[in-house]
Amino acid sequence: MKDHNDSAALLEAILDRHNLSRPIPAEVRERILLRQQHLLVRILKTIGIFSFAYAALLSLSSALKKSGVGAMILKLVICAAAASAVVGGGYYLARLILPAPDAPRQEKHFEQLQNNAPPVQKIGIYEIRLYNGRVIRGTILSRGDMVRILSEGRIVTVPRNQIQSVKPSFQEK
Amino acid sequence: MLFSQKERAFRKAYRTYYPLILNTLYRKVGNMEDAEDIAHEVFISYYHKFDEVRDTRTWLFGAMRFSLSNYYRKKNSEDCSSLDLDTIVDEAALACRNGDREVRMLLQEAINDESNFKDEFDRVIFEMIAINRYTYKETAQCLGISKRQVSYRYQVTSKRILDYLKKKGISRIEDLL
Repeated sequence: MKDHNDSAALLEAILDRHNLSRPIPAEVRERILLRQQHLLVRILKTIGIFSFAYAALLSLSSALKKSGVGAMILKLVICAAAASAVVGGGYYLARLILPAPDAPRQEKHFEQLQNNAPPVQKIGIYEIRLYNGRVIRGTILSRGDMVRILSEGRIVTVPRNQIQSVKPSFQEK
Repeated sequence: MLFSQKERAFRKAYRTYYPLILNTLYRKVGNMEDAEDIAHEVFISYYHKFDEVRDTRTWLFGAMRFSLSNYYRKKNSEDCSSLDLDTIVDEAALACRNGDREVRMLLQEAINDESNFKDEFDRVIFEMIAINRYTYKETAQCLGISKRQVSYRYQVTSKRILDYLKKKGISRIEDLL
């Protein structure tokens, strides 16, 4: 960087030596800087595009300049706010979609919902479909190689390997 | 979007070229009020011709030159008849009294060569600091970037220009002093 500083100083001296620099007096530079926004507003008003949004934008940039907050810092703040919004939104969405690790399993949650539903009450009735097409509705009394089902007031015993599917069935009380 | 693409591009061009236009105008007309009036006219024309403009810098300086000639014509018609417009705008013709003409031309060439600048912003920074002698802080404030960025960009550009001069056969840069 020192080398760069030397380069800049050397070049400025060369430009001075060959009358290529055109210095602007300090008070004029100050005036030019001060009038920058004023002239922009004047131009925008003449063109007819000066609006409340422009006024707000220019006031904000003016306030930032006066407070010494640089454009880079403002950009960083905006980026940080945008990043935190994205991360926060993503986290919230993930919470909605995915269950928490210590949350009860979905089946239990499903059962809870069923239990909470007022008009329907589960009384342990299943619909047992066999491979031969027969369907038995009843309460399973025991499981094992032979499944015992209480159906229509009598006990039916079915070999387990003949059962195609068992689905819970709800019966209104 | 709050502003149209044209409006955003216009604001960016204004922020970039405002100091250069005002500096030049102030040096030509000698007072800020007239300089602002001419700059106002130039930027309004730029907005209206925005879609046709290919090179913003060239267009703005060309429009400024035209507005300046109108200004001189209105202000002092008898003097204007003897005034060469090139001498109004191009200071290179005025400044060479003491220096070596060839070196001056080489320096002008280096300053005007686009390859010595990473982008137009670097060029504006260089002109503001090296030619018009703005401070880093003033340049940063005017262009809306940090002082550190201004300093870094300016120093890198200066190094490039000196390297360019070396490539053009100046073995000892100090000899130009």
